[in-house]
Amino acid sequence: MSLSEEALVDRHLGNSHLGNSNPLESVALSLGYEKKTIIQSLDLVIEPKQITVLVGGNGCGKSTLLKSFARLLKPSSGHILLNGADIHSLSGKDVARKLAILPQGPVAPEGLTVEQLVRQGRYPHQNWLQSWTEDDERLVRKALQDTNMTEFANRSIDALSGGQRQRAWIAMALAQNTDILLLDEPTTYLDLTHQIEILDLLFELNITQKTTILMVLHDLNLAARYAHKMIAIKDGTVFCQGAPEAILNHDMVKAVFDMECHIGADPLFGTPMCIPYGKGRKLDSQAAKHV
Amino acid sequence: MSKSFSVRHRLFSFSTPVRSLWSMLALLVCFLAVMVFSLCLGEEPITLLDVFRSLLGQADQGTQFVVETLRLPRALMAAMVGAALASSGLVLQSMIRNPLASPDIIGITGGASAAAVCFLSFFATAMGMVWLPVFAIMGAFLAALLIYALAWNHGVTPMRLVLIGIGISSAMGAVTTFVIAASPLSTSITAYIWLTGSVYGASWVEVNALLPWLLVSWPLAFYLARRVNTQELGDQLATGLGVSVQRLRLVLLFLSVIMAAPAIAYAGAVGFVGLIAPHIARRLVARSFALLLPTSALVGACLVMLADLCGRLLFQPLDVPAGVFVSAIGAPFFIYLLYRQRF
Repeated sequence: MSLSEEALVDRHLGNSHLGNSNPLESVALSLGYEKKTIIQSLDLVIEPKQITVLVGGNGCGKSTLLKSFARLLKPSSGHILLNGADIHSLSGKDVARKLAILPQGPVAPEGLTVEQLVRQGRYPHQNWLQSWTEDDERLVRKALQDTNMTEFANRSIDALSGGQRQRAWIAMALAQNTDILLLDEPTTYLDLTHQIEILDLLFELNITQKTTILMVLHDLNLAARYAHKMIAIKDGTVFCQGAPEAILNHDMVKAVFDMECHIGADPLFGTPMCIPYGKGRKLDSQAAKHV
Repeated sequence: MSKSFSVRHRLFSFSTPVRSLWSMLALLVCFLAVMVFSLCLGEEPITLLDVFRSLLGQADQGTQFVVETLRLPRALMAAMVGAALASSGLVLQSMIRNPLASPDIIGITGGASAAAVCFLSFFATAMGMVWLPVFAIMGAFLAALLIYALAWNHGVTPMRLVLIGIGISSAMGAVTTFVIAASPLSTSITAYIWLTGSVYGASWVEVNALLPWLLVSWPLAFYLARRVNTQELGDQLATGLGVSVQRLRLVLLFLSVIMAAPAIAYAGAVGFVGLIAPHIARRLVARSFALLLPTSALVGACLVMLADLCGRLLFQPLDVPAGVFVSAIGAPFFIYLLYRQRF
């Protein structure tokens, strides 16, 4: 019996509750809207205390998968296990104390300030009588500090730049104080500076607080730089998964994105770097040297 | 971080911005001032001193009668109607995440109006006027039920709710107009005054009938406040924070109906308060439902009381329905607030 089969049996016997179970995993998961199936019987394990990045083409089902991991979508069959328990057997607040999700392109109500937004992250920990404990105040302060948003605390969200706005939302998720953080394309619509800033912030968070991070990213090169593990999704199923340096190669990009490319090494980080073929200006090597 | 007033105890804790508390205090003072004015002013002006005396039961019989039996219930009724409609508007705007919602826009008022007009034309003589509020409330509930049922599509989305609400509102408007046109003139006039909205001749009976609804709906709204704030961040985030959005939406629609329907039933289809009061409240206090609720209610109460005061005073001996002046006072004030905020 191979190791993975053994783990599977353990899981079905419920042994995973005892040991150090994985924070998040899917068992025979199928997802779909209406009659359209998007994910078909998928088994996937999200490693604890690591950064996992989902990559894949548009409409491949990666965002749907992320949503189902956050209990936003009910599986048509199969299960999502959060620390070994079926996520749909838990209450919304129970889940929210363990897992935070930042969906794509969230919109804040007009006039809401950063601090008010970040305070909302405390919702699952509060109740009607205890709506502002010392813990609440401490964690909101800390979330603002960690995201460098303290100076903007009283600004309205609409008055912020794109990068600051995204940091405010991340601060809200941090105030939720969960071990697991899910993000759907946190860098979309941001310029390069702010993309790096957001990803650095998440990387830092993973190191200092051991947060398990699962996110969808479009940029393969940035994904390769920050992810411990990359999961390539194609047609609703996992095409391959593993460390980016192990799986990101010409054949994988060809299969998942239907694109020819050259894989080199990032001159700064040594992580794999995907350079797409295509049209464009080509400088001859002589001219390139002068640049 | 902003200056907050925080309370911490073993059993409870909360925090609220200091500035918002001052705004609410100022508004409360305004409210009391308008209330006192409503008692002083009228066909027969009464001095401030006499008003206080009669409230304590120490004035002469005539003054006592004017204050206690005529003006006080009428002012209270205006205040409660305004507060109820404003709260209902706030609940709807928060639920739909759109500032253009109010009971009169999404068809709740329309349902009550259609039912009330049908009652006036077909049942009033047989059953007696006391049944009018019952019909109006039922009409409002039916309209809300219809909106929710038609908007249902694996759950309801705010956009579907508001669009179908607007559709229902116009359909109800058509029914109302048709019944009025087909009725004898005397009925049409009564119906028309009801549709404008008036607290003319309000007595303690109506005050006592309306009050219990508010005593149920307001605590429920306060109880839901934190959930409503979360819901305003969007369905996915709210669900992610542990709120069951669909159930909350149904409860909020129900809440908005139990707030608005009785007010409309006893005072008629007073429009505009439900739309404008929450907007004015948002300019005054921080964006938190628990602060916006009392603020909107106070703004709504002041608006309708002022409107009724104008209706009574400006065209004496004519008593113009309060509904006419709600827009006349509310709109310029609202535009002024928006104008001031440009800078």
